[in-house]
Formats: sequence, C-alpha cells, structure tokens
Amino acid sequence: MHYAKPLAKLVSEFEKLPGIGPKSAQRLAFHILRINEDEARELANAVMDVKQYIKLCPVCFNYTDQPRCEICSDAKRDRSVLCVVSEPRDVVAMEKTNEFRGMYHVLGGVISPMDGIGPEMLKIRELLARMTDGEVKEIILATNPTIEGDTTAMYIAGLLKPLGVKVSRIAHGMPVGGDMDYADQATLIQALQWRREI
Amino acid sequence: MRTYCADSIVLRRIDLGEKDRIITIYAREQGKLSAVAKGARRPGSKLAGASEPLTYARLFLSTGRDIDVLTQAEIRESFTGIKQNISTVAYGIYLLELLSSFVDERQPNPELFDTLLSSLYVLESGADPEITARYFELQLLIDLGYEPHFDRCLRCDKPIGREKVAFSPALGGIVCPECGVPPADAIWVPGAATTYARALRNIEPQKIKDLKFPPAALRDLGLMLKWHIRYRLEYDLRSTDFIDMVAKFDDNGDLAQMR
Ligand SMILES: [Zn+2]
Ligand SMILES: [Zn+2]
Repeated sequence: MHYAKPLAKLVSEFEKLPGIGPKSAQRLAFHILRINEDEARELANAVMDVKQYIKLCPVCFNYTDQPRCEICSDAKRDRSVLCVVSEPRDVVAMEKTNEFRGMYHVLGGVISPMDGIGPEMLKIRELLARMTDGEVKEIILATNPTIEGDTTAMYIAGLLKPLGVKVSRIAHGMPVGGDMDYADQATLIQALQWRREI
Repeated sequence: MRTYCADSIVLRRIDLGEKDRIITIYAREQGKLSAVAKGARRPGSKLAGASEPLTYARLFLSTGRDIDVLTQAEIRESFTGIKQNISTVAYGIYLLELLSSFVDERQPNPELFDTLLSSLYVLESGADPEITARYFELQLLIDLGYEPHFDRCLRCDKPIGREKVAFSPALGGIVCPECGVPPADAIWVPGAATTYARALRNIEPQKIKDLKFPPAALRDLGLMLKWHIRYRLEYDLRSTDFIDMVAKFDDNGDLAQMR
C-alpha cells in the first residue's frame, strides 16, 4: 500500500503498539485524519503528558504524578499489610474490589527463566528495605498463578520468612495459569479472602 | 479438520491477543509443535493450567489451517516440587529449552520424550539439579548422535587416566597430553572428570538422587558439556544465563545483609 509520507509514518507508529496489526494501524491513522485539529492536539498532549508527568512512586513503585502516590499518602490505609503485585495494572484490579485497605508494592515484572528476568531486575531489594522499620506485619503475595508468578512468590517468601512477618499467597479462586488482570472482581475478592499462609 | 490426542510436555508459551496463548509442546508421538490455546488466560479456563510450561498432560488438538488448536487437556503432572524453588525451576526450564533448541518441528522421538519426562521426575524427586541437568544433556547428546567421547584419547586410543586432558568439541572428545597440541577449541580438564561422565551415561534415572559428585568434578563436567553444546548449537541458551544469575544473586550477600 502506498501512503503519503506523514500518513505512512503515523501508520507505522501505530503498528508498533501492542496488539495493533497493519489493518488496525491503518484504521486508527485514517480516524486521526478525520478528527478536528483540537482533538488531535489533545491526543498528542495526553501522550506527551504521561511521558512527562507519570513517574514511579518511590515507595511502592506504582505509577503516579505526585512525589508519592495517592495510596502511599493516604493516612487512612492500613500500613501493617502489604500486597505485592507484579504490575501497576494489578493495583488497579485490586483497588476495584474495594476489599483491600492495605498498602502495595509493585515489583515491575516477574522472575522468568524463559525470558532471562532474574530477581535483581525487580524491586525485591526495595521490598526488603520496606521491612526494616517493623511496621509491616503481613505480606500478601498476589502475583499471577503462573510458573513465573509462583516462582516469584516462592522466592520472596523465602527471603521474608526469616524476618518473622506473616506471608500469604492468594491462591484459591484463581485458576492455575490465569491472568490477574482478567479476573473478575468476585474472583479477586475470593482469592484475597482465601489466601493461605506459606 | 482432524482431531488427535498428544501426550505432551509443555515447553513454552507466549501470550496472543487479549486472552489466548500459543504453546509449544513436545509430544511423545508427534514431536515438537505449536498450538493455540484459546481463552487460556481467562480465569476459569480449563486450558490455563495445561498451557503452563513444565506440565505433562494429555492434550486433545484439532488440526487448523495455520496452527493446530488445543481443545481439551488432562493434566498428568504439574511438577509442583520443581516449582517450589527458584533454582529447580531454573534447571527445569533449562531442560525444556535445551531440548527445544535441538529438535526440529514434527520429528517424533519417543525415546527422547521419555528421557525428558524421566529427567523432570528426577528433578521433582529432589535430586541435585546440577547432576540431573548433566545427565539430561548427556542422554540428549547420545540420543541425537552427538555423544562426546570420554573413554579414550581420540588420537592414540589410550584410556583416560587422572592427568590433565584436553576436551575438544570440534573433535567430539578427549585428546591426551602425549598426543601433542590439541585443537584450538580445546579446554583442559582433570582426567578424573571424565569418570563422572561415564557414570552418568549408564545410570538408571531413579538412582540419580543417590549420586554425590565432588563440586570441582561437577563443575568440570558441566564446562565440557556446555562447551560441547555451544559448539553444536552455535549459541548460548537464555536459561543458562538465568541459572548463573540466580546463583550469583544468592551468593553476593547483599540480600543476606538485609535478612
Ligand atoms: Zn506509592
Ligand atoms: Zn593420546
């Protein structure tokens, strides 16, 4: 297919996005051509704004546009319970349940021998650093029930056990191999309530 | 469209779109092949567990135009023992990656399948993962006709003693010190290391967990096999880097200080 140069550039940029094939990229690019200039500018600004203002919270490593994220700055949350998740989107999924009132720690991935991702590439050191003041009494490991998620949970549990904190793993209700991001709220609430100590 | 049943070990999976996965399996009767597991990432999917790597399952597939489709699965073994520990997981994944790198698609090899399966059970039983990996490497090389020769000098045919000898992947075995300059790719190892290779060649898998090798011999044997495998594959496997990384992370003491 032959496009005018700027259009070809836009199509190829869209194609780089996850889950976007050539067909979808073309559809999106033609959509941009049809919208008015203000709308287009707003889209471009939104893209630039997230790049400029969204940073990782220095405490929990969730995304935030503040010096410290909303959850970490909320005095009403229970600082004795820490829920460990792999990605920021898992925080969103957990928050939607309205069931969990503790704090989070985002690892930024999972241990994966297949992809060569080892423990030192994740925020595990930082998690252990959060344990030093003795405020945290319970850790809930909420990584996906996949081989990577289980390995990560097992590894972290091994590091935390000697510190004397209670370590539990969300287990039941979440089928093996499932993706936390796609679990419905009822499933997640169950998984949280039925967590078992490891 | 034809449906068939495949006793398989899941080697790999990648996410596809929003809810699906593509799995690569090693099937006893069909060899290595890929299939799509539709909806396998959706909670409650019956295919989720069976599409996890390090799973032994009877899979039911139907032939598709581009790719076969996983329709049903009965899990035989999920190797939960291997999955208890980062180091055994690392070795388990290494066995899968090693096999996957050596075999072509749709080339059935029931014997090699059985070797992989029994090696995974050995790992599951709590045997030394490093010895288990050396056993599997050796058996895989033998099965595929790439067996390195550890018994005699390839040039003068003398049996290998305790003195330092040269192992050359290009020659496919040992050259003794009396036979002049070894090939450029050779590495020098104590001759004693070759006796451990011979021990692993003929052992029954269920006896591996009783084996204890001196750490230095195990390291030298590992080095020879790694060198030999690299020569055959012409690249390094990701999971070996991972094994090294985990070992280093555990040793470097940074985390120990925090504990
Ligand atoms: Zn935070
Ligand atoms: Zn010789």
